[in-house]
Amino acid sequence: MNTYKMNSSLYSLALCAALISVIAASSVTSSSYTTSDDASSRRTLFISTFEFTGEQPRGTLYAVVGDKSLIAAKNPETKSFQVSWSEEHKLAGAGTYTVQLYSEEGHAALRKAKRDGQSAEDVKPLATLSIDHNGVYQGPWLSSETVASIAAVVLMYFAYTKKCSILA
Amino acid sequence: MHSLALLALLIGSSVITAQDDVSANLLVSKTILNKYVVQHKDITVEYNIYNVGDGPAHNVLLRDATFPPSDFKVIAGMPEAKWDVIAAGANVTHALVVEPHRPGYFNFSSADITYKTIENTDEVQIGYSSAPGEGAIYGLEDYERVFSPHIADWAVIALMTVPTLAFPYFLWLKSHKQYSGKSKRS
Repeated sequence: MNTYKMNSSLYSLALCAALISVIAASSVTSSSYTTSDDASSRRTLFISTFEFTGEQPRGTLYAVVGDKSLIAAKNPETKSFQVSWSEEHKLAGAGTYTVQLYSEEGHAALRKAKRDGQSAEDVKPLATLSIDHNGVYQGPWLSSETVASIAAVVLMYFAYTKKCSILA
Repeated sequence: MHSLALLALLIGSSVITAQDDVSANLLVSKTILNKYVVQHKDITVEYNIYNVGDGPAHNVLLRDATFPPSDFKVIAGMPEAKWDVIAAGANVTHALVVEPHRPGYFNFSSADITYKTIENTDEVQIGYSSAPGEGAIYGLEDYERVFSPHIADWAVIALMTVPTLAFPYFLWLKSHKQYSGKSKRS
């Protein structure tokens, strides 16, 4: 009986160690794209492409960004995933956006925690990604034509006042 | 006994009918988000997949083969994307950013989507996204001519106006110094 107990505890220890090693071994490499120019998109687009090194997640992978829950797309040929969403330019300011990745079970637990009014911090994500967005360039504040016109008017005013002071 | 068997048969058939009715139906929109489509600049393509059916769609594969590598370079995103399941009533957003090599007119046509309404079946549903249609890809030089701030051009104009402004200014400055000097003496 004692031998059985020892064996079972050894097995559970070994299982825990294996699980820890899998979690430690699986990390994420990612790259991101965000809209930088107003002309190339009427909305700010965010794309994060990532890959798990080591243990691959099974089933549907969810990404949580703020209040949004997104389903990650898989590349059918490689091991990479993609999460993408778009926002209006006004609502998508410059800054760092955090993407939390959850497995199906993790996402269900997160939804349950939110529904029950519990803290979502207890549900740990598989990985967390950061997307740096530098904002969207929407053209210069003053067009070069306006700057040139202002410069011309200032010069004309200067010349005219000087001419008047000579004639006076 | 016969009536019971008949009832069981009826219930069974109704369950089968209900299962048959539950099927996924995916609608896909493909939108070009650009204000201007320009050579060597990003084209932002957004796909929205809506499951308007009353069952989940399995093994969903979205494939956009309308951007040939000879004419376009993929900047970000995947031209082929797969989802294991899209639940009934759910919507999924996917995006692709490409860069055109050449200017000219281009027909932005449909992406295609395949999915299964029942997970373990060979029957595959095929669908197509909406097509943004034909659009112009502006040449980079034409685009720059219209939209760039032309700082170099304005600098040249400023340099060209310098002699016509500077020459009278120095003449005035010289006489002004002489005049103000005389007035001081008197």
